[in-house]
Amino acid sequence: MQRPPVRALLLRRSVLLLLAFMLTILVAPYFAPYDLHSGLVSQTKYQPPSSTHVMGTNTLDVDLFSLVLKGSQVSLIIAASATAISLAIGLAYGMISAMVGGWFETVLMRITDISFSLPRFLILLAVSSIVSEPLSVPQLILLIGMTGWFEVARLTRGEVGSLLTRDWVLAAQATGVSRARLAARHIFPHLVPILAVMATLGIGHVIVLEAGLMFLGAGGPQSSLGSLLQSASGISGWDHWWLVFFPGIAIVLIVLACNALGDALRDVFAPEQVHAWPTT
Amino acid sequence: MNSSPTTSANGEPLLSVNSLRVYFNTPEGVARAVDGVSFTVAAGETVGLVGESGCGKSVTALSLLRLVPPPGRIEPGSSIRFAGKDLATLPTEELRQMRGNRLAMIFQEPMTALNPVLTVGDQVAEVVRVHQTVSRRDAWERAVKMLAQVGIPDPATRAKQYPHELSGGMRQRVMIAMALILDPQLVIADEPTTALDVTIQAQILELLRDMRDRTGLALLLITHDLGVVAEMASRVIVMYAGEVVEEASVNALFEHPSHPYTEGLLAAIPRMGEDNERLQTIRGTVPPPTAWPTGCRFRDRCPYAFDRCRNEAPKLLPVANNHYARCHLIEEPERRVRTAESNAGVLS
Repeated sequence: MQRPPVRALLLRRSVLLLLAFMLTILVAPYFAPYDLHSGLVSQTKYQPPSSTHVMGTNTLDVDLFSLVLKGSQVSLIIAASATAISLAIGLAYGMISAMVGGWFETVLMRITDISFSLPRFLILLAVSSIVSEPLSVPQLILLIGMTGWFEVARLTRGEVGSLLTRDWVLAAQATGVSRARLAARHIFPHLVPILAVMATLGIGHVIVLEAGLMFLGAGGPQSSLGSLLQSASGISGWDHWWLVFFPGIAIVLIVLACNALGDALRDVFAPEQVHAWPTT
Repeated sequence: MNSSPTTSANGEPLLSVNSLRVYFNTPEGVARAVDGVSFTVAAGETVGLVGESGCGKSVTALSLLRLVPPPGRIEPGSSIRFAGKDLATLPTEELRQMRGNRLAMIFQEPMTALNPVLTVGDQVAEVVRVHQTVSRRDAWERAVKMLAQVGIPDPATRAKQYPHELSGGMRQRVMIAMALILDPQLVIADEPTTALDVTIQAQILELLRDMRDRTGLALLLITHDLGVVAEMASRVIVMYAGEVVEEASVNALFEHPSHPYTEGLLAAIPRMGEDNERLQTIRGTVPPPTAWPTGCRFRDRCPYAFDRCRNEAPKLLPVANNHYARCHLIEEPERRVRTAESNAGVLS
């Protein structure tokens, strides 16, 4: 007999391992070897990686390893929060348009189609340059979150649209279940798998997006990974390779982990498995 | 047979459907799936609604709850009087309060009519919680009690299971529990046994008959199986091509089928002990609902068809007391002669 997906998920070691990695990133800065705010920590600027500073130090002689830990945390928090906003808006938008249907659905979906044609990165860059002060972290989260829900809305609407044709939808309505209850209690649980996959893939995407924005100077000194890259950008070339290399590696690792987690979740909740599930 | 038709106190039948029309706009044109159907179901009565696939009987069932999926729509002029209200025009919220509460439905496919992500106990309890203000726990207890009543062994454990953990027969029992838990006055059963094994079919019919006799509910039994009708119903409505073609008591229908279509349906039932080498069939298939034939809709498949059938749509005419058929033969019985051409289609 097949297990319900949630239990199957908890049994996947790859999923657990990747979740553990994410959690580590979130708490790691509290165990960083050096304080980031105490100014000059070591004797000379731009120390290359050594046994005392495994990733070297930067302009201000702050330990780069500690900065990368902090930067990873900030980047992940920004990405996770922005993605949560995108998912919430996209879920509500997609679900409502599919449940209401008719011309209302058509209009709402044309709006998302139009939104797709807008270059998100350039809009974000433009908005951040219009605002004279550097963006604060909450502002950045809000901006990225509110421009990232179109895909979520479209996928949700498609999924809900197909779920609405199932016999159990008719059967539930025949017992007097209201539209709202149908959406929340009967349909929403079926969306959890795709939402989980969209969340992980979305986080990976936003980390890169945010790094790009920061690198181009959209934000202020927010100690995210992108800001670390940005502050290293003025410093020339190969002599100080670690300033770019280690934050870059951190971005790559986090994004890879997010994508791997998304893939692992997709395997666990394989759509064909979910759909075949009722009849087995 | 099992129950005699009675009317409610005010003399009005429990359900009275009048010129029900359900049309679908399709790329091929307007599909007139249900095209002017009228019938009644009295309180406590069991009525069989019979016809082959595509005759409109399932759409009729769904339209009684106003659950016809788009692009299907109930045409203006249709009336579905139930317990003093017109379901065709009732405000949505009032209709929702009737569904599952005053009239309920049992679906054909117990495999797909239960939500795979909710436990069966949850789904039965939900019917109570949607219509009454009861605590979660009370609703659950009533659900478990109901599951016991429909013959599910160890209901407390079964209630916590998901649909995929139950067999087809068990799932159909769950569907019946959902339909009956609030004591509805009318239950519409759309092919309730078609998807089940023959042995399970008998058990489910037994259960339905049992519950009906215990609660006195009226049952509209939609099926293509005349055997089921003979066993369960007191009155039969035969549908063909979106119309009622014959209506009679079960006895009258089986003994004196008046519409050639009914005659064909009865002849097509395999019988034990008869040395027919081949089964009787009705030649041809149901025409597409976007293009019903002019005149009589059955004429292309009818062994007795004559020129009048091509030009003039027959009306539902009385054959005997409470027995009606939509056929010109009622007025011209001498025409009930098989044409040579039609004999080729009847294999015996």
